[in-house]
This record gives sequence, C-alpha cells and structure tokens, in this order.
Amino acid sequence: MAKPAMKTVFQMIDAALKLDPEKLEGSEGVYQFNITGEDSGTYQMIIDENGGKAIEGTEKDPNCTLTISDEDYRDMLAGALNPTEAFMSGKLTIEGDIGLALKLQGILDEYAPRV
Amino acid sequence: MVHHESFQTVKGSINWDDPMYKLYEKAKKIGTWNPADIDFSQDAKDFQSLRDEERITALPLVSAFSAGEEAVTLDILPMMHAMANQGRLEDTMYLTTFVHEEAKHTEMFARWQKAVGIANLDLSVFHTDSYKKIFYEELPESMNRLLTDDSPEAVIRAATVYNMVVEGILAESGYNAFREIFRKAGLFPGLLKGIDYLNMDEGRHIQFGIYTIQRLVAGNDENYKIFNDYIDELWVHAYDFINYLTDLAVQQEKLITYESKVKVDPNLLKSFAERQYKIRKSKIDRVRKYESAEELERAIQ
Repeated sequence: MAKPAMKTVFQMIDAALKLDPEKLEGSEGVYQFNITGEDSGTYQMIIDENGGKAIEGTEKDPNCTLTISDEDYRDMLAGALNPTEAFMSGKLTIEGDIGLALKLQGILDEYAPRV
Repeated sequence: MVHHESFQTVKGSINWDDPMYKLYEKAKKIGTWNPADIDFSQDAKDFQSLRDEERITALPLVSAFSAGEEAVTLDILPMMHAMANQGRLEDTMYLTTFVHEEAKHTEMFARWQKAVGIANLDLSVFHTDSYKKIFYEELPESMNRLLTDDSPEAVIRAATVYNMVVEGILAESGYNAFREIFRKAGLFPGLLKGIDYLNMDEGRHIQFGIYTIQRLVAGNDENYKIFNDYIDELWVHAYDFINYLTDLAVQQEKLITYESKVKVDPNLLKSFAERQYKIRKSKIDRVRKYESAEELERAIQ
C-alpha cells in the first residue's frame, strides 16, 4: 500500500487535533516541522487556548523547530521511533524550547496517524 | 605596563603569607589530577544500559558544563593580564594554575562525552536566553574589558560574573545536581570522580574571586554597590536558567513511565542555588567592617 504524502499526514493530524482537543492542555505552543528528504516540506502544529491545528507552511513564529527526515518522521508517527530516541541518535534536531519538544511524544501518542 | 620599574623578588621576596600565594601552593599540591587518567569505561556501560528517556536527563547539565568550562577557559586570560599589569605577583602566579585547571575541566567533560558516545550530539539546544546572557555575553564582555581597563569597577564586575556567579552559583549547583541524581542512582562513577576534582579546583577559584572583590570593597561603599548591583542583576538570569533546568527535569520525568534509578528532585537545584547566592553575597558583605584593603590584609595574613 502506498504511503500517504506528508501533506496528507499533516491533514490527518489536523483532523485528529480538531476532533479531540481536550488532551492538548499543557502543550500550548507552535511546533514547526522542517521535513527533509524526498517528501520534504515545512509544517506547523499550533496549539493554543482554542485547541490545536496542523497546517502546511508557516503561520506563526515557532517556539520549537524540529528538523527530521520524512522517513524518520514516518517512523516516529508509527511508534517505531520516539522523539527522545530520535534526538539522542541525531535523527532529530531541535531549535528553541526543548521542554516543549519533549511534550511532542505525548501529543503524537494521542494524535498521530499510524502511517 | 610597558617597562618594569623593579622586581619584587630582587628587592625583597614573594609574600609567602599572601592569600593568593597560599592558593598557588594548594593548587600545586592538590590540583595534580589528570582527566586522561579517569576511567570512564563504567560510565559508557551505564549510559548504554539506560533508556533514551533516562539518558536525556544528563544532557542539560552536561551541555551547560561543557559550554561553561569552555567559556571560562577562553575568557580567563584577561584577568591574568590585569593582575600582571598591576604588578600583583602572587595573584599572577596563582592564575597560572587557574588557567591550566580550566583547560583540564573542559577536557574532562569532552572526554566523558566521547566515552559515552555523545561527542557529536549538538547540545546547544539546552542553552536558553538566560544561559546565553551569562555565558555568551556578560562573561566575555566583562572579562575582555580587563584587557584595556583594570579599574576597580572592571575587576569587580569580571570577578563577580566569573567567580561568583558562573563558578560560585551555577557550577556549584550543577555539581550538587550531578551528585544528587547520579550518585544516588549508582551511575557514572568516572564523571562523579571528575566532578569531585573539579569541585576542589573551583573552591580555590571562587576563593580567588572572593578575595579579589573583598580587597576592593573593604572601606569602599561605592565598590560594594558595584558588586551588589551586578550580582543581583546576574542572579535573575542564573535563577531563570535554574528554573528552566528544573522545569525540564519535570518534563523528562513524565516521559519515564517505567521504574527508573534516575530520579530528579526539582526543588533541590533551586534551593541549593539560592543558598549559594546568599553565601556569595555574605562573603563580600562581611568585609565592609574594614576601613581599607590594608586593614583587611592585616586581618587575613
């Protein structure tokens, strides 16, 4: 089965965030994903008092920027690679608030499509 | 100092009772450890035995120390330059050991990072704006000012940021955190041994800073104010960074959903740092009772 495009993956995350925003409390911030590789692109996950959304491109200044390859990001969504492991192995580089980045694990556990 | 007018050891001798000379003697006797002799093999095994969520607990502290030790290694020379220009022979002699020790501290952390396999991991993500304010800006600015200005104000500011805040508050608090977390967990014996050596060296370094400031503050309220205002200004940033470390530790602990040896007490670092801040201030405050630096020197020697 063909893997969904990265754009579609973020659309799926967007839908999940909007469907069930209650578990986002305490994770407020702007997470920017710089995805490298064949399916590269820039996306943001914006979580604020109104809930959460994921968009393609940039809408706000990020609190933390995560740079990762498309393949490693897919592994992360599939649960085969957690953000801490990715950071420790150098697969994920983080700029900005690493405290916020650490919360990503919980968010992905709740909202990531298993693609 | 373009020309020498005379030489202390020709006209007379070294002041063997000078507190700075005594620090020099101690450094020669005690500060002989070699970072290359520390065995980090158990540390490497310990690191491998941990899960990623546990491993990451060590990184903010290691990141702060690696950069911190490198910064103080690179930034200490202007102090030596200033003391030499003032003809302070005993201070200059002591500072020769100080410079060497800072280089060893930088080496020790670099060796540990290499031994556990994180030498190529970019840890600068842990440097917050507050950390950068102290280590990237205030420290080099205050120290480099000494190259062209060795006034009491410049010396006080340099010793305040270097010896009182970076070494006396942040490094001391960091050593304590390492011991609290990893000694209790029975991990990283090599690193902890290195920390013990570092701590002994830093004790002398802090003493150098305390005495340098004390002799400028004795009988001089204006100089005392320079010290007091500057340490208060820097404390805001130091405490903000410590808050960040403790908040991060809380976040990291949430990721550890299994039984782990690595435990962090978030209040410990804060309360320890606060205590260091108060101690540093009190060490300077106590010499205000002296009328002059000469009176202080007579009382100490």
